[in-house]
Amino acid sequence: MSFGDQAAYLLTLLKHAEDERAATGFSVTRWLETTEESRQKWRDRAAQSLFHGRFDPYEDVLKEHLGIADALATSNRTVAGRCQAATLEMDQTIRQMSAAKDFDAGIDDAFSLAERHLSQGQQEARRAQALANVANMRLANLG
Amino acid sequence: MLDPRGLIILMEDLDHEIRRPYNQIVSLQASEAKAHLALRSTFENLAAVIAGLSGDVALLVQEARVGVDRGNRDIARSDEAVNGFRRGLDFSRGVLARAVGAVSQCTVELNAARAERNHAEVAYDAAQGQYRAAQTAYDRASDALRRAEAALSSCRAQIRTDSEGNRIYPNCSWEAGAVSRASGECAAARNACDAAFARMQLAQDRLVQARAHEQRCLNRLEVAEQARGEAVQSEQIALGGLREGEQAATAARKAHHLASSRLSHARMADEAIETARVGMAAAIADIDAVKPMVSDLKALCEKAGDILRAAQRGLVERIEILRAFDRGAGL
Repeated sequence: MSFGDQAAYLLTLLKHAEDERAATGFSVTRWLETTEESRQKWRDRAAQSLFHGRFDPYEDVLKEHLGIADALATSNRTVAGRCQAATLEMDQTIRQMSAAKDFDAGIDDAFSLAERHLSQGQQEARRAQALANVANMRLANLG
Repeated sequence: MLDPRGLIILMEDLDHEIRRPYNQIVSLQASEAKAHLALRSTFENLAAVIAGLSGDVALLVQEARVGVDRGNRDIARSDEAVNGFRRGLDFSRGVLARAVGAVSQCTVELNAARAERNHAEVAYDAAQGQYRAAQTAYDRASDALRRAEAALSSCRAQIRTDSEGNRIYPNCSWEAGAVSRASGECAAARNACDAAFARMQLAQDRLVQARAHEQRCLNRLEVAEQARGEAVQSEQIALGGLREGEQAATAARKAHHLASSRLSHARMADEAIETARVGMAAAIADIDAVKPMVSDLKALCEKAGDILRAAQRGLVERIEILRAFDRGAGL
């Protein structure tokens, strides 16, 4: 799977989890309203026992679950953001590597050219020196 | 107070509604766990790629540095070579200047030698003429001497005998004087001829010397011209060498410039991958930090399930009691 596909898949999962949290929040709110309404209508001891003994702990667990899910979602978004930023940095890395590689051929050519010219120059300088020495010797012999 | 039927309806509503949030948190927990796993998997993939890229980038930076170092070395080497080629060119030009001076000097010397040889030729021709004239004068003096001597002999042969039988010798004093004069003139002509010959010999020696000197000057000029030709060729070749060296220096600077640009891009790649690496280190810290939350969600689901089932049992029990009460009340 490419990084693009992975990122898309990850975003889908996070969006799905986001929707789930919204739906959960909605359903918990609805349950709280239902229990509150029932609590108002049904005030005998048996009912209070049921509310205090079961529904209140249930409500606490649901709220805690939602709170943790919120925190987890925040962290997941942060991690997803970091992964996305890392992907962008990787893209930048690859672009810069590619840009650096683009110079390879030009650098090799320039170095070869410099070497060739230098070698040719040294050869010609030696020939010129030899000829100048011969001419110099002739002049010295002239007196 | 509600009647039993109303309570039954209320409890059935609660029984119906209580499962909905539970199902929802179970589903949410599954989604969160899946998202967490996907994040970890994405992280691991990215971390592996970043590790591989880091190695490639480190190699690239190293190679790029080597390229820049080589560029620096090549620039220094070609600059040094160019300076050496310039010194060589200066030397060739110095030799050429001396060769041109030598050619000029030898030309002057040759012209002087030619003039001297011309002068010697003229002097020799004149000495030859004088010698020939002296020879002619000597020949004429010799002839005159021979004629005077013949006249004297003829004169002396004319001995007469007089009547008394005495020999009468002729008076040849004039002829004898003529012989004496002719002999003196012949000796003088001989001397003049010898002197003219000696002068001609001297003029000839001088001409030979002048010709030899001219030849030496000609030879020296040829040598000087040869040296000048070689010096001209040397200068041209040295100039070509200098141009090659300058082109080498230009190419080395271009290579260095390109290598520096490559190093700049390699460093940017290095910075980017380092940023990615730091980001991924923070990401794994975040992922590890929330791992307990994922477990907590699962535990809370189980806890909610337990509470749910107990609550449902309580509701069912109460509904049954109310229904029994309702039936009894109905009876």
